[in-house]
Amino acid sequence: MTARLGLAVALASSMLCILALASLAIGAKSLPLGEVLAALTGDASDVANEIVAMRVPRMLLAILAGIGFALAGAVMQAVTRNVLADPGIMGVNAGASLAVVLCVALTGMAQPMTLVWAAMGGALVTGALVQIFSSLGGATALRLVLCGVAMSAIAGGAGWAVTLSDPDLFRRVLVWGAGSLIVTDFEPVRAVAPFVLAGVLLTLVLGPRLNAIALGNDLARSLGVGIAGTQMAAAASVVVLAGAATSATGPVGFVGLLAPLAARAVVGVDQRAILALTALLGPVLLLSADLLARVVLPQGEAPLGIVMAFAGAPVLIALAYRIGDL
Amino acid sequence: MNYRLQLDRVSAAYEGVSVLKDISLVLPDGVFTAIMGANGSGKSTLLKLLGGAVAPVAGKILLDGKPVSALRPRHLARDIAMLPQFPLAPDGIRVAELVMRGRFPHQTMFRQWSAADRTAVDAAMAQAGVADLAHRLVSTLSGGQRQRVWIALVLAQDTPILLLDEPTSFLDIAYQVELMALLSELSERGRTIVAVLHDINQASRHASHLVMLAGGQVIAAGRPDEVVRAETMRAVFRLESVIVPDPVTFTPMVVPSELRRNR
Repeated sequence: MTARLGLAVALASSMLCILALASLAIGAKSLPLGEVLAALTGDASDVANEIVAMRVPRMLLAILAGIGFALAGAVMQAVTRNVLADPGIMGVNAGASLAVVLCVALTGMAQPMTLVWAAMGGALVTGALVQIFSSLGGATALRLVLCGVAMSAIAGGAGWAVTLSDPDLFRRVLVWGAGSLIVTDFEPVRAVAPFVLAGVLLTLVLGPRLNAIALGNDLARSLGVGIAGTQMAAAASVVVLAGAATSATGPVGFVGLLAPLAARAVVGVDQRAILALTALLGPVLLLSADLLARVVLPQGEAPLGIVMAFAGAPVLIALAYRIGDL
Repeated sequence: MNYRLQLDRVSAAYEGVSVLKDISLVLPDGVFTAIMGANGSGKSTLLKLLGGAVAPVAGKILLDGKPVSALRPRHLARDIAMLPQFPLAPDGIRVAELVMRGRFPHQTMFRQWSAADRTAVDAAMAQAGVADLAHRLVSTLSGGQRQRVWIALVLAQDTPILLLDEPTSFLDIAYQVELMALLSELSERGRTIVAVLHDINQASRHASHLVMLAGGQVIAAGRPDEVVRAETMRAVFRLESVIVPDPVTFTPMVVPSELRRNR
């Protein structure tokens, strides 16, 4: 069990390192690996140095957003005991995204830090609304997912309505709104990193409690887990992680669904192991999708959110066949 | 009679409807207590009150004279374990992994798994008779085996007080006897056992303290021969009956004397 987790973590970490290097090497102007490594110590040609320097923040942002989306999904799945829970499906990403669009519409081009706060606010509001609506008449797993999907559609639609109302705004948020990692400076990385770190620390504390919650709320309570407190902490971590990630890349779905799913398939039922592996697989997924986004079109880049949707949707359909009842 | 757990003039409501009215009761230490009563008489609510899962609308639930509501959940969980009627087994979990989760209240952020945990889990699995199932998937077990695994989990929690909500429902008669024997054995070894049960004859055989509830009140509490009487059965279940000695254990046995009844 622990040996299996160790092996999985080692494999996922190596994949993460390889993809991180690849994301520095591959792009409109691809570089050989030797030159990337040289550039990291500043020993390459000026052009190579500059290209790598531009790609580093993008690589870091992909890792941070990958951790954010994936861990948010893992926490949601654990606390709701519902494998379909995911910040994308449950409307959290769409809410964060709507808040970012509104923030840009109202204040002009906002600072990354402002956008992070706006995104977390939007995530909080939509997450709370989904909770409230789905608990009317008794919360069930199915009702929760349906309310999430509806909220996602409403927030997404509202976001596009605001965007389309203003050509100038449209031009500025279009790329971000479809999910993208086009950044060239460290400002967004600096804005997002502390929140992702806070979210990671929160999930560390949550891990053992989520193992108890998996046995049902009654038994978890008897084991000494405060149910309300755990749910609040889980909601806070989802808001912080998914909000920060959305502010970085726009709403990218499926990472929060796929990474915990894959982690569970590999390491089994221990939430601490699932969370650890998920935190590695999220960035692996996002870096892979970002690399694909760079090379899939003959010219320019495909939007990251769309690449992820193409990769994720078939898995969701396969999953729907495997799950008999929700 | 020594006791740690006590209800002091407790009233409780479920969804606004009064369920228990002004109940005072002590649960004797190291004794197997069975809580019985008609459907809807508040048995499960009483158990949940004792476990701190439900808050009373009036009165106090006391552990060592202190209200359980004032204890931190994790501290309470080192004294009282409660097995609910419908616990959930995560998909793909194995027996040993499930039993280990009973150790949560003894673990901290930085000390997740210790030798003491190992010992407690092994002892709990041996006591519940599931040691040879340790590596089996819980989903492949029979109902009786699964119930013993859940018992092992609450035993691993290693609390002096154990509360069980209808632990024998869904078990066939052989597993029921086995489980009741296990519970009385645990009480003989010093644990306080409180279980909600339906079968009065079984409870009389294995439990040494019975509590009869009706209409949100305690109608009778005491030894089986004090509690299981025709007039109690009439008051609690509105059932006419003859009480005869159990042919095997000589404990009181209820034989209904009505063949059909109008409620």
